[in-house]
Amino acid sequence: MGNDLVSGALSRTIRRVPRLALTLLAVSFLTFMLTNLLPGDPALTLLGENASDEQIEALRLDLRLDEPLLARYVQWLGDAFTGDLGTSYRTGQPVTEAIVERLPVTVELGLVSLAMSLVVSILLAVWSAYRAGGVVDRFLTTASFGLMAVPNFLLALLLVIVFAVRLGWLPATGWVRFSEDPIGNMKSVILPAIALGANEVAVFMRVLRSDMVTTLRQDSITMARSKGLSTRRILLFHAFRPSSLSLVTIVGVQVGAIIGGSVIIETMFALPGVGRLLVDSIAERDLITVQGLALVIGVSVILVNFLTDSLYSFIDPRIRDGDR
Amino acid sequence: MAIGDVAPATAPTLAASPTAGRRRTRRRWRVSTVLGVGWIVLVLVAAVGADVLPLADPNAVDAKSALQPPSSDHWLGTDGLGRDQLSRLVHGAQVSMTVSVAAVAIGVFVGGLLGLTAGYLRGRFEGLVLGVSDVVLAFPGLVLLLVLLAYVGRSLVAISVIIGILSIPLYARVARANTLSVTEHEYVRAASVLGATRLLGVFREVLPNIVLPLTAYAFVALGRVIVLEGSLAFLGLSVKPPDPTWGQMIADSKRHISDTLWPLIPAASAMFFTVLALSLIGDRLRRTIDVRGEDA
Amino acid sequence: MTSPDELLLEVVDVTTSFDTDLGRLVAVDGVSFRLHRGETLGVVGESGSGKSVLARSVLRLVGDRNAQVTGRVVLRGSDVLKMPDRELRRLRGGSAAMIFQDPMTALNGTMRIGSQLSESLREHLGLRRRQQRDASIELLRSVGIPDAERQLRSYPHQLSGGMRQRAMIAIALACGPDLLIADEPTTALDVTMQRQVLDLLDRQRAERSMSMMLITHDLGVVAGRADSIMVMYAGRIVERAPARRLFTAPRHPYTDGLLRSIPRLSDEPGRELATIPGSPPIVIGGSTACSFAPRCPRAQARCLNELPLLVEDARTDSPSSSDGHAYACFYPLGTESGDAALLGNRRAGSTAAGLPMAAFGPTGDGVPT
Repeated sequence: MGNDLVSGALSRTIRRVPRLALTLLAVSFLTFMLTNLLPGDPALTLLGENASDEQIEALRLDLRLDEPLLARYVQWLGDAFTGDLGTSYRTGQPVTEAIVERLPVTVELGLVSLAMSLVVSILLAVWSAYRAGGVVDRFLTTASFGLMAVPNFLLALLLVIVFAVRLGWLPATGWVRFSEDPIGNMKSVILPAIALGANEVAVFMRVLRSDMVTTLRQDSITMARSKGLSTRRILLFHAFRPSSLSLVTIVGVQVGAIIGGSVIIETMFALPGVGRLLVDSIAERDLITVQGLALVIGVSVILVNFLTDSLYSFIDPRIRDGDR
Repeated sequence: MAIGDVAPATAPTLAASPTAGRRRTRRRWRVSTVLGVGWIVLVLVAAVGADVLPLADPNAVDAKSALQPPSSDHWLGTDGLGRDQLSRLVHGAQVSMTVSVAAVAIGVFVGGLLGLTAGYLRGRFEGLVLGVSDVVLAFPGLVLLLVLLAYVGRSLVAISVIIGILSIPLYARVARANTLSVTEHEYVRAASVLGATRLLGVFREVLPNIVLPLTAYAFVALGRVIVLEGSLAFLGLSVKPPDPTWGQMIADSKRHISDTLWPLIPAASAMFFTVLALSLIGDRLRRTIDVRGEDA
Repeated sequence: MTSPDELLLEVVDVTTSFDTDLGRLVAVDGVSFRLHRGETLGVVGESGSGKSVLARSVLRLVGDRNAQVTGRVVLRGSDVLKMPDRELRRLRGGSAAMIFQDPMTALNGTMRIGSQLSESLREHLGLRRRQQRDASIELLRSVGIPDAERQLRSYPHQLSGGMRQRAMIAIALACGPDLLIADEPTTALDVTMQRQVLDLLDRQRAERSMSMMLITHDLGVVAGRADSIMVMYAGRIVERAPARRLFTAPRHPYTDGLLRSIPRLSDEPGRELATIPGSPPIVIGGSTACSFAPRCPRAQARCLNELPLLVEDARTDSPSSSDGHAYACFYPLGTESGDAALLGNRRAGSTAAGLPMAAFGPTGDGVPT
């Protein structure tokens, strides 16, 4: 890569850092306010009705409820920066530890699901666009509408019915760690990943197909064909690559949807991930953990979007040079 | 007319849209749109008439006739507690429709207004609206919804209002984008030059042009809210049992999947067809507005 | 091994049509022509005349799945329309290449110029990386791109319009084609740039003894550069002649109209350019009348009921009759019947197609000799 171009992309990325920082700050503030705008006494709410007076007093001190709001926020933010998200008052476990323990499950689930849905959707979209208007294309267009109308929890249920209950090929619930049993791990991730990624297949496919059809009509494709290149090379370098820009954006946007979906899927398949932790914490009104999770999830989504935006400017030379 | 300096009219391509096939496609879409509208009307009638229709009590437990397949007594069979599925389905439609219509109405109204104002006034107000929506959109909708529900408690009203509030940024963005594209047009500029009060100008000139895009978006969003409510029910965090919702029915059926699928089928199909119908209608609307949509 | 008279390309009765909602749209209708090595053929017509589709038909590049191309396109002895895909791919970019109107859309905006050059070199000549680079630099230099080594690493949008067009030419010429099809190569450029690019094309043609199909809407572009010129209208050839002859003694009223709409240096300032009223039709199904009749100052009843075929000029002085002057008109310029038709229409105040003669402006209807 030419250094000037890389530095162009880098400087464009760096220019967006202040805005990123501002958004992150706002997200942290919103998260912080969640616990602190609780009606009534936060300590009482956090501990529940049957807590003793001493416990409540200790918590009030711990939360520094006597200090002004802003000071508490600064303190909390500082702690969060050093990796201290507080300690659950239900389990006594540090929130950071609980999250770090469960993060690998969610990350693996999300990545496997994203990878599967990208591979499937890219193949289908390229095929569909190449034979636009053909039988396959029309079938896939219709099917993508159907696929998007299936909620992920329903799909999860159907997958369990077919592959776990009826066929007995794959486990309906549970998680096997990769370090213990790689094959068992794959088996336990596959149904959840499909359930989580199916909607994304439809979303990615429609975006990419639409862009590819537009690209395939351009002179650059006729030019590439007039150079005698192979269909594969034309589709890959001259059609897919220029069309992949919106796909990258959509992937960034959908990461939020995938994290949201993992909450349901992890609960459904009883996977010990971050999403499950969130549901459990909400059910147990473990608000310190909920707050920590909200911060981690919000920050992750923003960072992923920032990264995909930056990636965008590396893919498209026109954007990284600042015109168009 | 002098001889034109124009690009060739027919740009032959590797895979241009097939004109002959498109005609068939168009007709098929029209049929599916009509079916979709018909289905939605049916669901609405069920939702509105749930209390007056001659149906069994949706919460009447009858352990003896649990998990029955469809029969003349129970047209859609019974669930694990022997409750009539048809009645629960119809009452569930009420919840689904109430939540989704209320949430979308809040989102469209507030978001549309904010976006329109932001797109017209620009400047600091626009920055604020966009900044706040960035922050809200940073959270996956379901996560923020769960978190807020954890604090506020769960009731039909709370769920509708929170979903509505959380979707405001989306509508605000759609409205702002459309306002911007409209205000590029000369006639709006002309109106503001002629001294129509600024905000009045917004409404008179811009509003008609953003209603359609917002409506198209709202139809798709209705479907999303129905799924969202289902997700909550699945997590056991929607309206409190025993009141039926489609999501609750699907969640309840989970216990019996190794024995029978009858409890699953009615609610699952209802949810699928409703979401499908809404997205088809939304897509149809989008295509009528967006000429480019013909290719998409 | 190549004689100057070698026949490179023979196009016989090529018809390209598209299935549409309205019926069969005939974009190119029974076009035949021949092109010898080293020659330049100008193909002239308004947008929508079918010239671009013809260009693409020659290399079987009409990609629409509803398109149908019939006839024969014989390039160096083999029929392009019938050859297997593998052979077709060797031919495209190898012995025949094409350049387009707007390099901004014809070049791949996400690939460096160097990669777009070397993918051809690798595909057709099997060059290795080092050789690809050397050949690419050589090519860019030969089309007059300064600082060629650096430009290999540029993306199309980083070049100026003229340089982009040169880069596209370099890419097309990469594997030394025998035939170059240039589809409106200068339309996107300003006048000085146009001249430079046309000169470049001409020089490359001469150096490589390459043949060229130069497609344009502007007769001024082919003037002095084409050996022979084909005028297309509504998918058909309406006139074909050696270049000089077409300019000095046009037969078809459409050619005449095109000639009149070229601005000339000798024009006194403020002279109104002649125009051809209306725009070309879209031909659905087959033609049963002269497609130009609705816009023609000479249109008679016969023109509306009968299709004029392309016939050799009876008064041609060219010894080789097949490559001589031909036109498709019942009432051509420079004939008694033609002049009579025009005068009759003038007297009547409108043509047989109902077009008022005033629509042609003061001099636009063609002065009978």
